[in-house]
Amino acid sequence: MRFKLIFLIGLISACSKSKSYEGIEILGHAATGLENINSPYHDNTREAVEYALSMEGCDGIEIDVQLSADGELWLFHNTNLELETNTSGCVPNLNFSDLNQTHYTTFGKEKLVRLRDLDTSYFKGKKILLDIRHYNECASQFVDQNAMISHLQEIGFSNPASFEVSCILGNPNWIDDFQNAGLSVLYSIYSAEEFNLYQSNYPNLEGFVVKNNDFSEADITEVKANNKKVYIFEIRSPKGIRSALRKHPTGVLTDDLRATLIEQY
Amino acid sequence: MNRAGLQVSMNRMDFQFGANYSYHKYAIKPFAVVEFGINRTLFQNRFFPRVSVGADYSLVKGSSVQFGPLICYSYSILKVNKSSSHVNSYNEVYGGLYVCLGGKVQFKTALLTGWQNERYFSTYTGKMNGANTIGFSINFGVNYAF
Repeated sequence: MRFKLIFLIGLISACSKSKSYEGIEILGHAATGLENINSPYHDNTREAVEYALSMEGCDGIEIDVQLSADGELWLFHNTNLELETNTSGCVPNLNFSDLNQTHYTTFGKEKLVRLRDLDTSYFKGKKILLDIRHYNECASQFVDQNAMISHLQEIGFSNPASFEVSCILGNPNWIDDFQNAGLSVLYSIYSAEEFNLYQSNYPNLEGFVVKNNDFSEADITEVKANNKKVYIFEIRSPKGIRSALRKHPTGVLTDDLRATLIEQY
Repeated sequence: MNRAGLQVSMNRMDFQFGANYSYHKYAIKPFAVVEFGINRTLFQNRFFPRVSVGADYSLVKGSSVQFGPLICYSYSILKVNKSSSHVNSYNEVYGGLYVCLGGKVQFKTALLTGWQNERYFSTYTGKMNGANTIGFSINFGVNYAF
């Protein structure tokens, strides 16, 4: 009996979680998580943004932004609209009149929303990462980065007073222009070798965004030792969430915000 | 006749495992289920209980096959942030269809869909808010008649 009791206590102790995740920022990937079945709202919508940012313990969000033909930034993740919405084509080929009528084919029929139309009072004290889409796949050409920068400055996202904004770039040719405009830049990399390359070529980068499976704890430690921030994405399952948190990054962009908050709190 | 058994189900929030009981005297058979969320409870160490009540109606009532509609109400709670005093709660009202196969030992599967409401504390409004969506539940169970 005594041995059974000791075994049970040992089992419970083994199952109890480490509390060493403090200080790691928890951010919702595409607001509440990309293709997250337990989110009540579609990703990258006004509803999802407000829902995520009002959760206790959520430090911020990452949202995907694309520049429309008339120079407005819209929240949308994929290349083509027709798979998920009532409109066909690509955001960079369409204007306000088309996109303002566009909604997701979900129960809630959440509308596509412009970055300028989000209620920034929800952003107060939060970290907002803008994943900047630089390529128009429908036209097979790059988007005009100057138009993108001008628009971010116009709508007050270049240096906001009450919240923190960083731009996630995937095109190295854009880094200097964004930084020269006073925007904080995180760069997407896929290996530790790339870190050394971009760290030496672009010393003023704020940090890096990496996939969970591509970087070890030692890689993350090296990036942070160089005074760079590092955010991990592609995490969804409890096991994946824990593996990312154990690497002690600056933050995680999680596809299951609720499950990640449970792990941290 | 009474039936009691075990079931697994999947809904938006988690995979669930639990026990069910149903009373089989009339055409409309009331049932009750007590479950817990597998991912939250077993893999995240955060107890996620769910209770459901509902009723089946047998359109086809053979000796070994039964089929018909069912309705169900479920309530579950989850403490997402332990440093907070607030608890998330979920109300689900579903309708669907079920099929039962077997005699004394019976296998039951059901597909349900309907309204799901989440009540959560919003740090923005400083009070409990609601989020509504379409929910679903897919159930598999085995029960024994006694």
